Amino acid sequence: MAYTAGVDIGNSSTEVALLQTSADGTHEFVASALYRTTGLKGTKKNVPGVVNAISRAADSAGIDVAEIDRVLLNEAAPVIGDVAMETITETVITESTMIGHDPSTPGGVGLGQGTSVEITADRADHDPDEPVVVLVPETVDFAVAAGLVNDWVDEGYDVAGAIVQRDDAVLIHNRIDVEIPIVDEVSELDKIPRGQPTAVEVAPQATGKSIDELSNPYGIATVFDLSPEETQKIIPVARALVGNKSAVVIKTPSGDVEERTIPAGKLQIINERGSTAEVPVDEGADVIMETVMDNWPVADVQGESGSNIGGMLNRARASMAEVTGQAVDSIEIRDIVAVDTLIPQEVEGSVAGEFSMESAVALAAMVKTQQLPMQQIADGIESELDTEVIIQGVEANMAVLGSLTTPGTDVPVAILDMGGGSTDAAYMNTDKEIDSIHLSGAGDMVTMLIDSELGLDDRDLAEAVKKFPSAKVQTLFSIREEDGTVDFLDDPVDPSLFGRTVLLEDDGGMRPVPVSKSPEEIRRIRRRAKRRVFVKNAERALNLITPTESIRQIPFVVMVGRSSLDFEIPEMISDALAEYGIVCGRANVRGEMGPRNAVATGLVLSHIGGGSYLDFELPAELSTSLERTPAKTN
Amino acid sequence: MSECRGPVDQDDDVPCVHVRCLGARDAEPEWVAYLEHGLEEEGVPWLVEFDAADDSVAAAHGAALESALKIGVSVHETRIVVHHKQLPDDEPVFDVSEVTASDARDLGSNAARLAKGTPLKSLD
Repeated sequence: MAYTAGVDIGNSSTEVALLQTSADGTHEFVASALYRTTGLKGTKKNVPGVVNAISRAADSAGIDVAEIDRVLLNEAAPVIGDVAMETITETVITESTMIGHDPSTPGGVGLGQGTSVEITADRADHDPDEPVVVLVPETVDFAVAAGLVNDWVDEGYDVAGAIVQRDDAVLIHNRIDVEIPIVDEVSELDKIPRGQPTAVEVAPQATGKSIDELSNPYGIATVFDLSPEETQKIIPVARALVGNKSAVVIKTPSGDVEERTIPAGKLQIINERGSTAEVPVDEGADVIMETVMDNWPVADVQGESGSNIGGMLNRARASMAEVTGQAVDSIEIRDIVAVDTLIPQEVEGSVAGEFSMESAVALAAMVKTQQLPMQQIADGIESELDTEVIIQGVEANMAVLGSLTTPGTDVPVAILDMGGGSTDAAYMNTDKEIDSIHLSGAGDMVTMLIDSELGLDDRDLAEAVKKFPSAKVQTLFSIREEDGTVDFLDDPVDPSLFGRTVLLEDDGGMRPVPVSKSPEEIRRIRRRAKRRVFVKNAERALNLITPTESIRQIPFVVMVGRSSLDFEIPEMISDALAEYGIVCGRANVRGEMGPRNAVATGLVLSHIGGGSYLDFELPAELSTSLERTPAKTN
Repeated sequence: MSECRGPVDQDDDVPCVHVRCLGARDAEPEWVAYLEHGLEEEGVPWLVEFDAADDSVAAAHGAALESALKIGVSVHETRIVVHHKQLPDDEPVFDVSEVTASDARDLGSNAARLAKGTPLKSLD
């Protein structure tokens, strides 16, 4: 018996396929294994992960690691993906000019306007002809506050509304003699200026309506008698209040609200013919992507120094330089993907944690170098396991071989390898020649988009939002899924999950999403992020890789890689490609592994010449191992 | 069961949360008032009843069974139990001893929120 292990070192996981060769020359795969990649892909730190993955495969095959005769490595594609976000607008609200938050239980209804006054203030200091809006700090009990409001009214004052620090709006409303709008849970009530013109609005309950005066710039202009110039300035306030059930707007004398565009830096895209195109990042994703595709193939991309974009591109270059030992300026950025996005950001000068939606551009870049130091890894494994280690083939080629073991496939075939850092594609024509391409933008970019658009600021949670469907816990015993179906549970949910939006994890667990977003909103944001990155990249990759530059010519497209395990990405891509008449689906390597193990399997097949797994002769360039670095001297 | 009070009269058909005060009538714990504030702020109707029973959990479950909103609460001295009709009778949603005024109000809010289906306040 002889044993051969194919090892694929990927960005996030290291996979092994273990082949047994019997004395009569028949080959059989006896085990597969998976372990997380240790260190950055393509560095010597990968060795412990590789050793661990091989040991796991040996264990499950019931053999000793020492019985493995040779280990086949892939030459990892020398690409690294990185992602970054550049905010291009910023709303600056100095002083407390608005309160746009949505307390769950405001009181009363309607629009009230008057001068802001502390509820405990001396009434004699105020002109009874001027309407007032009373401010109720947390030190004043609701019953006392209600009594004071009634006192103001009894003495002939026009109380137009109330702003309350604690969650007391309904309690106060139920105990006063006038019908006024009351907004509560204003945590930083002390920041509200006293003696200023103030407007309070609460939308009618049980009507499904939101406020309609303070979310309209002309409504605010009417309330405060603003000039056309002033009205232009309050547009961000009105926009931030759209959809709220209640709101407060205060006109401060020196208050200043403006929305400004931040200079976001420029991108220089240099194509292989040597000409350079320049795009300002704030022109948006469409313009950037158009410029990239007009200048294909891209030789390098540079960002303006001092800008976020410049910083991000330099970071990617620096980490690649460190891995390969090359000079930073010899590292080239071969592709970028840009996506327009909106980020909820806390308004500067807020009093109750208000947010405004700022525009931003998300960028993913792909850095390419000459070659990764694979021989170092090979030497490391050789000394750890005391076995022969061969760098058998190029990642993309091996992925094609492995994918062709999927039942129902044939050449010409294209594979889409969708990982965390990059989207790779390879195409094998009827002459068994393989062409491959690496594009930036994959799972990590989707995670970043979800993280920022939902305002989570938690990468781990954003990753979970990407991977799992969401649901709403409706009762202690039922949840409503994204599509509206209701599932009944055998055991009651934990009360802390009640009424919340949760993620349905694979192990049956529920993980709360700590933002007030419905499952429908989460689904919309999640799917839009996936569509903008993966569907867009799939079309881009296939268009670039086909010899005729028409994706209609490819009969088979096979999806592999970590992101093709996603519960909806493969179907979204299949759906988008269906209109071109392409058979597109998730790989099922060796008829049993799903989209996993394609490269590891391909490595083994390339070594044994295909065996009984491939029904064609492998051309020499696919079946001979690589000799790119000088052989090690013993 | 004896007298009732609250914004809902007993003959009224409005679905409401049932709050049951245990022990002697004249020993009505002050926590009931705080509990009621929580319910009132959330805008959910409730009904206060008096009962001489002394098992808080059983009383809360009994109240939940009678409540059209399926939510029952019992208050006994400084112990408040919030129960749901569909839960096993010995596994209440909340069972808090030595409540403070703000606990009592939060438990009132949570009893109301269980009926409304909105996320509960955390008790700490």
